[in-house]
Amino acid sequence: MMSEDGIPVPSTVGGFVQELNSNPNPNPNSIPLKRKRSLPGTPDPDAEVIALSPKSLMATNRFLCEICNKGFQRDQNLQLHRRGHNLPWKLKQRTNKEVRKKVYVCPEKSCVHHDPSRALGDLTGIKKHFSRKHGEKKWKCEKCSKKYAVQSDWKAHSKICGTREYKCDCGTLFSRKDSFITHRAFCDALAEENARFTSVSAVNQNFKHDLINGTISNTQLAGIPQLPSAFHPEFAGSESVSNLIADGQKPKLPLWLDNAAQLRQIGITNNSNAYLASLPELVPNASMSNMFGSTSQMQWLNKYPEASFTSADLTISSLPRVLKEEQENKGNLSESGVTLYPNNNQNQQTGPGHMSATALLQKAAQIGSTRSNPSFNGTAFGLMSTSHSHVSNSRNEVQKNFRQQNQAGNMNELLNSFPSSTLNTTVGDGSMLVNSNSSSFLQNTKNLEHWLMSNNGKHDQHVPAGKHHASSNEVERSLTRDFLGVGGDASRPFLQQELAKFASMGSAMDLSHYTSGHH
Amino acid sequence: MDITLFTPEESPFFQSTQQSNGQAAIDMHSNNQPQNSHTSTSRSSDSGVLPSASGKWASRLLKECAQAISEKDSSKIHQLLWMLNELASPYGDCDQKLASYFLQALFCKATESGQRCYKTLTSVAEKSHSFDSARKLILKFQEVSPWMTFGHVASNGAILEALEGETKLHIIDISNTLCTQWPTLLEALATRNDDTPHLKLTVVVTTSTVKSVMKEVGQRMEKFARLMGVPFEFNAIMGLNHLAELTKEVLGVQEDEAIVVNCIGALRRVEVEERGAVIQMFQSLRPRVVTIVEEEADLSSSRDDFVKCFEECLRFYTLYFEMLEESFVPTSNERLMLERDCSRSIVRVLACDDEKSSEEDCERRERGSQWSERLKEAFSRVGFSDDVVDDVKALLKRYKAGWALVLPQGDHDDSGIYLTWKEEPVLWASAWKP
Repeated sequence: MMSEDGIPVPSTVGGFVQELNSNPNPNPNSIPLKRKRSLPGTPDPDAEVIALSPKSLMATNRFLCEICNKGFQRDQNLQLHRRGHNLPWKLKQRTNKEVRKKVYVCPEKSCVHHDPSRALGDLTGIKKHFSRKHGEKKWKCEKCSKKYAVQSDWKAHSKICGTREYKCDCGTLFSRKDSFITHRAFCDALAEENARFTSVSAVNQNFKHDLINGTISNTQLAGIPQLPSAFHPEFAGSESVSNLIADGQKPKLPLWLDNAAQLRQIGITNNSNAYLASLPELVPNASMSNMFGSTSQMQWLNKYPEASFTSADLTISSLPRVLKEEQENKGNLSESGVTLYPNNNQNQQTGPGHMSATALLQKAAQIGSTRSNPSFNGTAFGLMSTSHSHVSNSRNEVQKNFRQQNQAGNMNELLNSFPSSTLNTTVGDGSMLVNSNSSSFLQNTKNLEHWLMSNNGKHDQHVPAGKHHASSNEVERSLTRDFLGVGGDASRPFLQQELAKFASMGSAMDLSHYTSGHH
Repeated sequence: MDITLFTPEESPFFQSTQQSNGQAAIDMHSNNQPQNSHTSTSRSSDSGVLPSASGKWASRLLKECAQAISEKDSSKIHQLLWMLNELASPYGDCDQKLASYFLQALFCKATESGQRCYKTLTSVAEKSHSFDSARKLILKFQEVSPWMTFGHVASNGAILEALEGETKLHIIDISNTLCTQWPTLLEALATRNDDTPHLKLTVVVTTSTVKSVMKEVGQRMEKFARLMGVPFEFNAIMGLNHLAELTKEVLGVQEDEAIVVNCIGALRRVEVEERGAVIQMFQSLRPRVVTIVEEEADLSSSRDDFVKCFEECLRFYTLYFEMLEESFVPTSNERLMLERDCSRSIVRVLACDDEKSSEEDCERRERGSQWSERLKEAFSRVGFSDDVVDDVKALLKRYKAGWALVLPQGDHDDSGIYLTWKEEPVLWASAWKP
């Protein structure tokens, strides 16, 4: 429709079309001059294809002033500048000629966008594309050393680098990607078999892509929720879990049992959550939860956000058998799972596609709660806590005894009294020798014995029976070994001499009881 | 408290060495005060006549004892051993710990019982290690300290760059890192570009404690590689007594593979005389790149001089123990285990000189420059690229302060890069090509 002065003013869609009749863009547009984006992948068939050379593509100042040769990125800027030269400036007005849409191709021949049918509609876009794909990466993130060709990409990354947290299936949070990866590789919740269940064919996600970009849309998660219901029969079929659910009395899984009981007390109604909830702290739990799909997992995470490392530690270190069983169970389940997802080739080894589910879950976990609430670390630290007061007490005793210098026995006795009983103590026990009538040398050498037995240290739940020789120095369990760590069998002439020397070390030290020969 | 024991005038023995020992005795007490409460309470001195703390009593006493041993001054030896025993504790502060572990070695040296002690320690360690404990230990260590990860990042960077574009990779991993180096490499291979190469990993295990867990480690690696989408094959070679015995056949080297030899903390375990042979063996495998990471200490050139060797050993382990103390939380069980692991090594170096062991566990470290001299026979150095250096720097930033990266200076870029702890070089990493 033409206005009275003959200048066409597009006011309707029709008018618009008339102006730009080559543009098939159907968007009704009340702002006449604004260009809308085409739908991706739908290039304008009549658009003018512009192929710039790499040089001109990357040239930042294409608009040059003829007077002073100054370059500008935009024509408008150049025009403003020209006013300074008292030159008449040409305002670029929208002309009534038809303005053909321009699309740009990538100058790189091997590139997919070199073909006009895959041209990009935006000059800035093609510039960035060319930089990213074929350009030199000049911008580097300080924190993670990742490189970027386009400055805006780099800036955007720097903002979020280090702020993202990675969450393992076992619930542990990491701020560093490398420690996350290393942990993941060794984590018992390595959900590879389970990933087969949850990788829905509809979700075509590149795991690598995920890992780099960390983008995941909730729509992908939506594809999964059917799993829990579909899964129950399979799951119930597996031995240990069904036992858990039933009565948790399975003798092999004491801890699981406890947790299940605890959580029933808490009153978990949701059936699927019950499976998950019954195994909150256990590392293998995560793998099971994966099977229920990410939505359930997210719920679980929200409910039990104790992502403390210590709880994971506790489980890892204290449930080796349980874990082994979990491994077997996973094996069972994986077989039964094949029927559900015949598409998934269990022997499939390569290719990123089939690993996507793990990535999904990972991302889901990240999107979900990332609170870490170390509420369970009491016991873990209990194991590791030191009670040094015992040590100091014993040392006091030692000194006292030493001073008093009773006839605590001769050296012989001493050496005999260090049988090969293992050093039971560790820090946690605090069961250092608190000796009443010990020979001081025994006491003094307890440290020496420590070294020798040290590696048993804390793990020493198996004090060998019968290694507890009676001696005047007998104290609890933490007897010590022979000074040299062996059961005092060899004859070492030097030692005898040495003992004599010790004996003569001075009256103040009162080592008279060392005089006898050793065993 | 028995302060009387330490006053010089009461003991005839002290008189002969009154100056040094008396002084040392006094200093010892003063140093016990401010340290951890759990032991210092027992040592709180009544004497009150002590001069202010002058620091490292352990190092002084230990060195004196080493000197006495080399001079075979048995009275002094006894005295010092006894004193050290009084003060040492594996649960105390750094000084006390060092005193404890080095005292053990000194005692073994004095009584020539090093070999037996070492065997005992080793068997005890073997019994107590399991996959779970080893994994937990290593992962925790890597989390709090870049001691291991430094070498991993540098080596992985060099490997990735050297093998760019290859499709069949075969990495020969001679280390005891339980494959903790490889997950990040696998991830990089998977994400680096669209065509992921095939990776074969052959791990050669040299310590006995690690053998038992390698099966589990292998399984985890295989699973993880599947997860990453990297075609992967894993082999472990155990029970090998001498590295020089490795051959292409034993390792399963194929002609079309691009070979990498990755040697982390393993060269020092080779008997000093055989090190040249081992390097020749590496050369025979025709690798694209050889990555070496070793701890920076010289315990091999001084092996005939006990005191010098002792001092160097003490220097290195002092750094190490201090690093451990500052990196871990005070109640850390992992730190305790790492410290205990040192005890074997210390005994081996100091007290097991002349004894040939069936396994390679020599533990005589050499400095980077010394290793470079050896490696130059067969290889030429490959510098770490700027990217790799940046990666290492970024890695160090993620840990507590005190760590730094030192690059070789000047043109004679003969060595590799050094990790320094409080400005003392502690680790050396380098890459070599034929």
